[in-house]
Amino acid sequence: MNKGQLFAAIGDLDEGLLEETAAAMAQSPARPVRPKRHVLWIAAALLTLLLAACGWIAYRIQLKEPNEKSVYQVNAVDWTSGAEQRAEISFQRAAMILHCDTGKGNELHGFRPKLDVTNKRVGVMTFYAAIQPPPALKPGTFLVRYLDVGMSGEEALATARLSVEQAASYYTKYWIAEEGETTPLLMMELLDAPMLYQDDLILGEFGGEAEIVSHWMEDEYECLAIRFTGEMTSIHLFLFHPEEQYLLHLSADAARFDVSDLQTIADETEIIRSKLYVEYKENGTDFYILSDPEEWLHTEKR
Amino acid sequence: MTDEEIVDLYWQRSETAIQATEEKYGSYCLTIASHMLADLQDAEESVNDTWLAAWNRIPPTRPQYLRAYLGKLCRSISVSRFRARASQKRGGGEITVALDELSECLPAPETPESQLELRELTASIQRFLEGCPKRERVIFTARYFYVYPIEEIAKHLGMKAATVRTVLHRTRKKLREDLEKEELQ
Repeated sequence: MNKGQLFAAIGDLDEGLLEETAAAMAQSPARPVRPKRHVLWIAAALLTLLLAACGWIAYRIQLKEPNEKSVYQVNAVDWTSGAEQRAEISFQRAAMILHCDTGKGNELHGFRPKLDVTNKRVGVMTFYAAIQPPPALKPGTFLVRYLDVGMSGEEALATARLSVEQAASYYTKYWIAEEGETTPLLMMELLDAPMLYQDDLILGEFGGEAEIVSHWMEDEYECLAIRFTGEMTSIHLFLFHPEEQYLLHLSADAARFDVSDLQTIADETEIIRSKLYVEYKENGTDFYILSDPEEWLHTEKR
Repeated sequence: MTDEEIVDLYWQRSETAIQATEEKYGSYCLTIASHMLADLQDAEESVNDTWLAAWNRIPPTRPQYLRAYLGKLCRSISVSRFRARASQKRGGGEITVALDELSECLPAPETPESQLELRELTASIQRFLEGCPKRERVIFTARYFYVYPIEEIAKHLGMKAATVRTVLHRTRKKLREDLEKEELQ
């Protein structure tokens, strides 16, 4: 068989089948194909609209009327773009960097000490490096950063004029209403409202996408329940104070630990020593600090 | 005028049949011929030959789908014209005449066996296409029967050209597997 025979055979197909195609092709185009020269104009128009929307959001944040209801736009995080810059920012913010066996790192998820909002130095260990490492992060690397450096949970509560119990009650009420049961509040932090828009501060910590699942007013707060869908799905509660422009972040999902507990982590995780890290000792605990993030990234790229 | 009325005119041997056919399907056949020949003059001649062929074949034929029937005729005539033109381009003049004379020594190219093989091949493709989803079937026949450019198929079906290319690639691959399977049997 050659292509000529195949072509000839196709030429003798059943007329019913050919009629079906002729009828489909006789229809006017299902979707007009835009001439290519218009693509740039359309892109420019879309960009203008996007900039206008961004401007409008910024304007609303800056010039919010007292008690005016606002709607937050939480954008998806694309881990595939700008991963290196994100990793670099994470490194810069990290107070401590541990490198250990990935399997051991996963065990750290069970490590959830009590809520300690009164402790001056609490840390959040970002586990995504172990579960779903962004492209620029080396598996088995855990970044530890202190939240609210210069402002403890206690100070945050003082600013919000709330007690631990009052903060927890917002959280509990939401979970009881939505799920019929609650989870313990393990984390609280105070953020500037615009931070909700910055991937690296909130979304970056969890990765994946985020969407507002519930939005309501309670007391003087505008409450937002936001679902983060990344390496794990979790719902966090944000209380926005429209007059004082701060944002309380309440969550049960971040694994928290006291700095003194790092000794336990170090003991249990069989830290792997690497020439890229320099050993740092504090109170008899082995810590490994990245010597040079640039060099690390460069080495990884090679 | 409906297709049935036009066919009736052919059966009555009324010359208005050709006029009616040209009015209704002139641009359709010209599109097919243009796709095959890429030359307007040649295409127009093919279309005129199509009307003549239809006149000679109806009756006794009574096509169920007049449009598809004319499409087949036009395609076949355009293919012959394309081959003749290609043959002229290869040499033309005396060498073409000499080669044509020599071809008389060769066994008949269309033996009953080869015609049977061709019919079997057509039946295989027909079965294959009937088993395909409509979208794949339409894209395949639009490309390989009507010889529509890919961009035009995409435009008519509201798809991206890249998608049409992908569908064609997959359908060709499936057809190949299907034909190989049938050959084994």
